[in-house]
Amino acid sequence: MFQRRARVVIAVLIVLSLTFAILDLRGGKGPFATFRSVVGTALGGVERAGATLFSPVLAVGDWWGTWGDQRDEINALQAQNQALSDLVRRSAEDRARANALDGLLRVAGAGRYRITPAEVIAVGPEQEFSWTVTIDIGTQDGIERDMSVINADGLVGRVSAVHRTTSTVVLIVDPSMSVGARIAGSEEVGILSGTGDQNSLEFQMLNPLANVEVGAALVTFGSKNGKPYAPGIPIGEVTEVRGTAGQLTRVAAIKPFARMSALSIVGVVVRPPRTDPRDSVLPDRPKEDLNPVPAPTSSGPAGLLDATPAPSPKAS
Amino acid sequence: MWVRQVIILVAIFFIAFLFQNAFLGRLGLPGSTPDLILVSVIAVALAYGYEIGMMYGFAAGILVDLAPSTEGVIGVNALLFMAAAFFAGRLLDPRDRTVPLLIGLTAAIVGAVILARGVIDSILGQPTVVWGNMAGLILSGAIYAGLLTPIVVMPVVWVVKKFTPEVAV
Repeated sequence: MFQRRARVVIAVLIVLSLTFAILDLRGGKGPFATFRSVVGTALGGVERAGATLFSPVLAVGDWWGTWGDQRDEINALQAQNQALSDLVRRSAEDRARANALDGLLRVAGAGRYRITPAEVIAVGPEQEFSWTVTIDIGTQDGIERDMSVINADGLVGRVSAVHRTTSTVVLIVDPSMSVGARIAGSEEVGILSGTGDQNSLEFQMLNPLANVEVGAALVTFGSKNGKPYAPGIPIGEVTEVRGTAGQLTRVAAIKPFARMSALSIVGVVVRPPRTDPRDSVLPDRPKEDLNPVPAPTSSGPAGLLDATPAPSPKAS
Repeated sequence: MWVRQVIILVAIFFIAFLFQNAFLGRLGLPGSTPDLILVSVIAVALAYGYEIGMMYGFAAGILVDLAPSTEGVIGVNALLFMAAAFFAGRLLDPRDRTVPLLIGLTAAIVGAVILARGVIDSILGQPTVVWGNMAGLILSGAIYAGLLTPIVVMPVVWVVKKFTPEVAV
């Protein structure tokens, strides 16, 4: 009994749904427009309630869904961060290089040296007991053996070997080096030699009776044709005087102006000044105790004028 | 008896509808949305027999057609759900229903319904059917239906046997 009734009901339902479909397909505002909107509103309410109910669970789903995106975003941000901090570091380095070049230009201008700027690209191994660095200019830049190498602070060394695009520079702290030096102001001359210690040089004065003060500055004495050392390049200052006046040899310890452990921009003096710049290249402080001693290479006050820092147009 | 049965069926429909639209649909799973309502139709057909299953399928199909966010022709889902209930209730003898067989049956019916809906919709030309996605939709829909079977069919059968034992298959 139930079976037959159910079958009739099912047949009716099939016909009904087909009728619905056909009526709906006719389009326009059929009989379903209001029906659909009523049922739609009711079921839409149910969906809204469900959405509220499930949103915390779905948030977890979102979290899962965006897991990969977040990782990508983190990677992208890290890359960006890396690039930016690289940029910051590079700009600091660029500023330092600019400062070094500025200093070099000031020194070169003050002493009227013609220099070729270079960069230290390698440092010789310490276990070979020689203090050398490699710079990135060579014969094709006009570099020759025995040219002086300076930086913004003072004398660095001299060129010991030249290749096409690189040169080797022996630093003044190398134990085999000796430089003829003069104490600024007092005209006492002597031989400066390296000790292998990057903070200290040894200065042997020719005149054992000379009076040397701690803090006095040293400049190069100058060699013939400016090789290996151009005249007037600041070297360092006296930190200690050993031995008493009158001893056969008196030795002063000199701290070089240029920091040998932190060389980057250097300049090779390709042409020394026509006249000895005397002490004018020295940094400001030692210049105060300069005695107006007439320069031996020039006569009278004119020579002194010549030796004043560069920018005067009547130079050369 | 009738009242209890109707209450159970209405409750099943609304729970399935809620989960389907507010939860499964928004999970953003790849492929098709898990068709929980269709699985519930199959479960009712298995629990009550195909006649009541078809009536439930008709009601569920009409409501799904009328609900927001479906834009099909009214009656198509009703027909499809009735067909699904018919096959679910008739294909397997109640005595040799095992879980793997039920999972396979549900997956097959859901896959067939997706295919049939695609065919009908493209004949009626109402929602435009993209046939390129069809294989993926059928496959994913069948897999989701198979996964849903143990957690839908078993509870429905249990509830039906518990509250309306006289009409349960």
